[in-house]
Amino acid sequence: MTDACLHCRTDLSARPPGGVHSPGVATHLAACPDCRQWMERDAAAWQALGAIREPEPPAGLAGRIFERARPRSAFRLHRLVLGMAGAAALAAGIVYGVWIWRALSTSAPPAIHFEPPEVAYAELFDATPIGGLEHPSMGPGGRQP
Amino acid sequence: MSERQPEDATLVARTAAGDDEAFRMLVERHHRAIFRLAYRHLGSVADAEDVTQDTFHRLFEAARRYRPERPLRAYLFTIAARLCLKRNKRHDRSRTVPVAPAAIEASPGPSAGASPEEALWQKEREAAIRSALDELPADQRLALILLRYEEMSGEEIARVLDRSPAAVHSLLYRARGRMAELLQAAASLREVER
Repeated sequence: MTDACLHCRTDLSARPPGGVHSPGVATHLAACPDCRQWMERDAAAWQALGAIREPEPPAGLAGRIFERARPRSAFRLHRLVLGMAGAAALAAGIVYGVWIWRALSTSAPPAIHFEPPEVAYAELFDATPIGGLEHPSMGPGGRQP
Repeated sequence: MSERQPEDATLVARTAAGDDEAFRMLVERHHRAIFRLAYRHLGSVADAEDVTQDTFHRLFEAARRYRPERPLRAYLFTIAARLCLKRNKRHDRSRTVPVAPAAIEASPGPSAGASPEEALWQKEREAAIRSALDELPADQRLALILLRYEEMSGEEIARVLDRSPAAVHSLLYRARGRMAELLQAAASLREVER
């Protein structure tokens, strides 16, 4: 088989048999008995393929296709409603958060009042030990005699 | 006077907007062609039904993305062809039964009015052709089915299979050459059996 044969057969294969050939293919076919034989065998096979009857779809197929698609449609609606509810909740959360943040940032910070104890530490108890600060062995003012 | 039917593109747009009746009309209009393609390629009624259902599910899901400049029939054939090739790949890996008996079992019943002998002969002949078709690689078989039964041009087949026209012509050349060889061998075998 030559390149011209391959070109001729590829061209013949791209369309049903029995049509009008291009000038190049017609010239080659006139000169090549192998390609003419190939074409005859191809035409017989083409005709044989027509012996397969047209298959009919099983009864109720259209209904089953439709019914199988419907739950998806219901599911999509369900998904849409859930999505919208989620988005609404998220938006409400954001608005509430912003509101809280603004409220905190615009009001004055709470004042911290430190009130000194009204009663001084010293007044609570007498820090002077019983008997006075002076040791008996000490002179007045705590000095060694 | 018959009422004018809405265009496919209009029905797809209505399907995308949630109109169930539009989707039902699309299914009624196109499901036979999709089933036929899948059955011829896969040779099983159950598999062909699955592919047909999946094809319309995908249309339903992708209705919003459908571009009306492309004919719906070609769009559906593209989806179905890809599903067939995918399923075929899976079957090739798990295939354990011979092709011909499965093809005989799955083939449609004999035509009405045929005698039992004629019906048997017809069924055997169809099974032989079916068996020869099944011998072809999946992409060659699909290209041949689209050309022979759906009367698509090489360019249309190229779009459906997502190949270049030159690649499709090459697929068709190999498919038709192999098919002729297989059918000739089957015919010779029948002659010997007689």
